[in-house]
Amino acid sequence: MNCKNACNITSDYIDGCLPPQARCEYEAHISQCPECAAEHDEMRRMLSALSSLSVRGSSVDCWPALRAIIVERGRPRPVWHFLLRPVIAAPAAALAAVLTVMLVLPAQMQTPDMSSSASMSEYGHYITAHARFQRQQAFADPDVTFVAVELERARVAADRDQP
Amino acid sequence: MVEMEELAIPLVPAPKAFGAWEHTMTGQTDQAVVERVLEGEIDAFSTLVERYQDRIYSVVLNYVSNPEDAVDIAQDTFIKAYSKLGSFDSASAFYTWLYRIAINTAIDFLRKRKSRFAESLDDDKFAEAGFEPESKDPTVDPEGVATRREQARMLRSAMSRLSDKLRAVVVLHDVEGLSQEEVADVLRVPVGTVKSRVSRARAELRYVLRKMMGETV
Repeated sequence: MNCKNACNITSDYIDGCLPPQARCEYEAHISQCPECAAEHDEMRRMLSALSSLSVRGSSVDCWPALRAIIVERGRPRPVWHFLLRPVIAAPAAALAAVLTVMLVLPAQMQTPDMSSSASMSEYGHYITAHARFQRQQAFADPDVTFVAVELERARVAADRDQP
Repeated sequence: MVEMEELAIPLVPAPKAFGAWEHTMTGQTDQAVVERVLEGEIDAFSTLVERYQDRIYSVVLNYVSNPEDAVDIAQDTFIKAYSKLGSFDSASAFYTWLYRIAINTAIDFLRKRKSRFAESLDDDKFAEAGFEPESKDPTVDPEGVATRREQARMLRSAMSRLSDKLRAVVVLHDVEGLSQEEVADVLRVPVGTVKSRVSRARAELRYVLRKMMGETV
């Protein structure tokens, strides 16, 4: 082990993080190298001095001031409480409304079951609703309007050509 | 030939590992107290405050190097902890969660007030705030006290020159005596990262201290 390697692992040695072989090599090195031994000594002194900075038995008492603040704020909120904030709740409600409309409207447009006579009136309702929807579409969509006009012209032309 | 025993010159015993006295001054685990608080028993929170305020204050004080600010930050830490108690994950230890809040609050504070450094090194403030009280014991060596105070001043000054990440590691591991695993839990980084940061922080600290001592001489 050279001095550079020894210097790099001084910290790990002091923390007891070195494997046994590296530990032995390190100890052998610093027992022969006064400079690395001095480095080791300096590191230990520094760490010892650092640990002396820890404060215990201070006169600090946070509770009286804390209690006043806590009583004012009330109980701690549950983890899901942030969902109730307007910033989150308002967009979520709007999104839910849009999704509901998107899911409910196509369901209304589905073809009903024609197997029973009772459903015939439902089918009539469906046809009416479908026709209304198409008219709305035609009103809104210029292409559909154009096609409808063309069809009407063709029908008039056909009527005229008929003997 | 240098004997290993001769190299270690402890000034004070290293602080006990934090997890070793995780609870129980009142016979209740932290988790049990947290549940009581969540059920609406506000005064139960005082148990947690009394249990940890000393250590939170110490961490914050060594982080910001100003006793008055440290009291404010410690208080903010507990207020934040109380507000977020519902989101506390009982799978992790309460004290590591609390330490995380304290370190983040201290970092935020320092970022907002970078100009505090010069003021923070005022020794009189430490004495005033009870951090280093004047001893009335006649057997206490005044020179020794002065030397230790000077040493502490230099160390704090050197620590304040480290980056946030390295300073957090030094304060938690080398000052407060948390294990590397506990520090990793507090900072939410792998243990290997803590290990490398510890080495780097110590090397930088030694460099800064040498430089400061050179300047002093």
